[in-house]
Amino acid sequence: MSFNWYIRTVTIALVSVGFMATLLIEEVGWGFKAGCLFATVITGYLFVKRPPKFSHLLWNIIAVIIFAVFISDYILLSKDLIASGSKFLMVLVALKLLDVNTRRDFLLLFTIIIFEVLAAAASTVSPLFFAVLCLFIITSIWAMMIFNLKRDHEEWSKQSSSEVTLPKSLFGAPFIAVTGGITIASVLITFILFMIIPRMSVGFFNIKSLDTIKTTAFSDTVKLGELGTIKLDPTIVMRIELPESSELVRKKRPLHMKGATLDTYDGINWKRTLFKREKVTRTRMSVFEHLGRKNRDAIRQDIMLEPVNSTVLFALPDWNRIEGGFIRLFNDRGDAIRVPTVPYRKTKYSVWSTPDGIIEDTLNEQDMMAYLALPEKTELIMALAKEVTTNMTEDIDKARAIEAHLKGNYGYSLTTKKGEGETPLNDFLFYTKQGYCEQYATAMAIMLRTIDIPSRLVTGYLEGQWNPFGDYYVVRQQDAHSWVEAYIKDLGWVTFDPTANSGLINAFSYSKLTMYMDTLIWRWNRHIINYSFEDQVSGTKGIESRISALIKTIKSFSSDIKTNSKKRGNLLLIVLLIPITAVMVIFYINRSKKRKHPDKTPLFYLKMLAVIKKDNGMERLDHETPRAFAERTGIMEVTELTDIFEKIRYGNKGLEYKSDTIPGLMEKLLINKAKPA
Amino acid sequence: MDFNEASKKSIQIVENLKLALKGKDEVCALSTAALLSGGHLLIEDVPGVGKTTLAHGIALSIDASFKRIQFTSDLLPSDVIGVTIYNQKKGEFEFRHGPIFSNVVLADEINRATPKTQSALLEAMNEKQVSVENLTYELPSPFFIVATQNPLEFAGTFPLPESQLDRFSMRLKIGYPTSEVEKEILSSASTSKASPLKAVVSGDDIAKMQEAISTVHVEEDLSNLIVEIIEATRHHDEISIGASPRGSIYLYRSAQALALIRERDFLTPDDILDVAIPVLSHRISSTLSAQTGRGQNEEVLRDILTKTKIPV
Repeated sequence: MSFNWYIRTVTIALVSVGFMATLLIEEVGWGFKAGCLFATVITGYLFVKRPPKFSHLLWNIIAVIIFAVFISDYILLSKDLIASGSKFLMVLVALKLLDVNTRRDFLLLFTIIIFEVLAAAASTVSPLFFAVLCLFIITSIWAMMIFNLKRDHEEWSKQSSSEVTLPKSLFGAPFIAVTGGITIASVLITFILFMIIPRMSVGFFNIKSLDTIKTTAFSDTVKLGELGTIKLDPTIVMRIELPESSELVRKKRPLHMKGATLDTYDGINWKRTLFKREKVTRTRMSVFEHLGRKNRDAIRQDIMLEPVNSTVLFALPDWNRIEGGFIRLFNDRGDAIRVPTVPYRKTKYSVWSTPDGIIEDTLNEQDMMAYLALPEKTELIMALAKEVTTNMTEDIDKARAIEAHLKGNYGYSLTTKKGEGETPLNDFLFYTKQGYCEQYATAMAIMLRTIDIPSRLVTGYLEGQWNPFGDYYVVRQQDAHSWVEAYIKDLGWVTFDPTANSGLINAFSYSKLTMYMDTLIWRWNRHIINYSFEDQVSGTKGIESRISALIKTIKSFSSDIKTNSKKRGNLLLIVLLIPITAVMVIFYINRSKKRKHPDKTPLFYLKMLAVIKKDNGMERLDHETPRAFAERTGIMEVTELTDIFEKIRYGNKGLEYKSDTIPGLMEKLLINKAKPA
Repeated sequence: MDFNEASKKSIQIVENLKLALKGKDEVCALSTAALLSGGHLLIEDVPGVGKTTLAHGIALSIDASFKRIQFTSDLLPSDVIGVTIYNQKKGEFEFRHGPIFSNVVLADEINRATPKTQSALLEAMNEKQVSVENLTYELPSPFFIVATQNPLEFAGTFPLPESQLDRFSMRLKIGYPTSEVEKEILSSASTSKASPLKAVVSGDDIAKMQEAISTVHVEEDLSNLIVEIIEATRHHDEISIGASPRGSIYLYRSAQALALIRERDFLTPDDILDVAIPVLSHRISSTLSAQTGRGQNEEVLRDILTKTKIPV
């Protein structure tokens, strides 16, 4: 077999793998794919038969034309880079097969195929892609090997123009097994290393996420109207998984991811004045619990928080347990979870909350004062509150009435006009009657206070968008929201959201591709970058618990055996199978050991042995000398080859010694099917 | 002497021996190898198979001094080495050289002599010198002893001590001829006496050929193979005393000599395996030999060889 034969084979293999990759691209229609397959098969056939004379210039012109078509397709029709790009690549491969002559042509073809695989990687979610990728790696290894061999050979024999014949079995089972094995093994080893190597808390990957998302919405002072500006910002703030929750919980929207709470309103700004905070008890490593609260029916939220310029950890209200790599956590008077310092990297944590549960927090006098404090000029507001809650006795009913009033009678708008009211709040309540969440919430909080119900403003996020690819919520800056918590006797702090429903609906929708890309990013962050020491620990624990479960089953199984004869039979089978498997493994290892040979053995001799084994079923015994074996076979060619072999192997000729007669003798051996003389 | 010339001469010796000992090509080649390896040769077999014929053939093939000593139970060391006698004319003591002062010495039926006489050969065989009464006499070079002996179970013999056996490069068995060869022997015996052999090499040639075998290339793996075989004799269950380092030297040299005879300037595993049994069988003590006879040693060695991996 000549080098050219190998190069043709490896090229066809690469083109096939590239085509398989393009089959996975979802953006390209099946009709187009079929057409391209047809074209590629035809040009591939021409390529294999004999490379047709094809003008280089013509090829370039055609490539430019196709490129122009592709550009216009991208700009005018599909507007999707992957769709039109992969179409372009597919046509290019089919065409390039007509013009593969020089080394550079192969390189170009190779590059196009790499791009095809990349396009598939960007487009598909199919696990088949992994298989295609493996195939691609293997075939490209082959291609590189062949080209290296060719180059070395060309350099070695610059004078002689004769073509070297290579054995047909260069691509035999061992070759495929070795290259495939190496590829798979290296992937596996990389994976295992990744899982095992101890984590540093800050790695190279984290440098990029040092930028925090600038927001003042969660600081201690929030000016009315501040949240409005971020309502258009699509920056992702966090991603939330509800791993243990049923569909029902997920559908119970909106989810109010509580952030900071603010207690004092001075007519323009909300402020936090109750700074007292309590250290949260750490019950185990990285587990923090609110000991006063019950953990029953809690909703677990797994949150990956981007670096937000705030010390608040977002969670559903009434949390009772947090897990995450924190050293210290605090619970402030507003029942918001806080970390000691602003985190400059992604934070991953799990929170358990019971938002619908009754949690009795007692308010001290100072708290009470703060939560009932009113700004100036609230007489009108008080009148309105009283009007809305006439004939009501229970606080909870009053609060619900106010919530319903605001929800029903006010419009949602991101742009607020200045009205004739004395304060911004009066403007909203009595003149413009339009506003956004903050105004609604402020209005409700103040109205509650005017009728002696303690209340506070809560800033946080709504759940954002459900990503069906990764089963999580994507929360963006635009999902920032504010609402109210009211202290109701016997119920504790209850969440109210007076914002009109239109304000809860997201103004933007995202394409599936965006969501899929986000899934990839999230997975990368969740499982690769934030693969932490805790994950390692929990992974090990998981293995441990599985092993102990296994031991338990074995134990119960063994106790069953004493009574159950059928199970005894099964056990016997297992006991028999284990040594058989062991023997087979040992046998295989021995066999492969036997196959191992030092580099000193000339290749042709090994090949000769293989041929004889295949054709005559004779194998050289370990203690048999090559000469004795040759005599045993009685084949003339074997004797002659053994002569040469002995000279190379045992004489001082070395492996460089070349005999012209080897190929001829081998050929004879193959043709005669190694029949004894 | 270069390799090719040495090789040619060695083949001449083998061809010459074949004339004397019909149908025993391998024995002829091996005994020549023993000669070229610089050691001595012990031929052991039942009477009448041609031990003396072979020994005589070797001696005749070399154009050098040759003595034959017929060992008997009353042979004295002085009969072998020589005696110091008083020369009345000169009025002084004078050393009379014994038959050992020859290039080739045929020690026939060596195990019939007493241990005392046998051990007189010890120094001569290894150091190629003889010490008598504080004086040391160099033996001529080349010096080659061909000894023959009957197997031990024959009456009236003294077994050779291990130390002396070890000094023989090879112990060869001739064995009975095939029936065809036997007929040939009969016909030639009836017509005329065996044609006398002509010398084909000189004593000097032998010394040069012994040097030439050192040029035979031994691949590293094959030296390892030799060591491996020797090691195996030392650790085998059925061997009480394994082969000595002298044994491995002779295995190496004899294999090289055989390669020379086979016109090859490098060693192959075949050379080693072919000389292994003659070189090693008299150097090991099988734990079973006392019960089942000496054939056991060869069996054990064959067992070792079938368990040794040949490097390819």
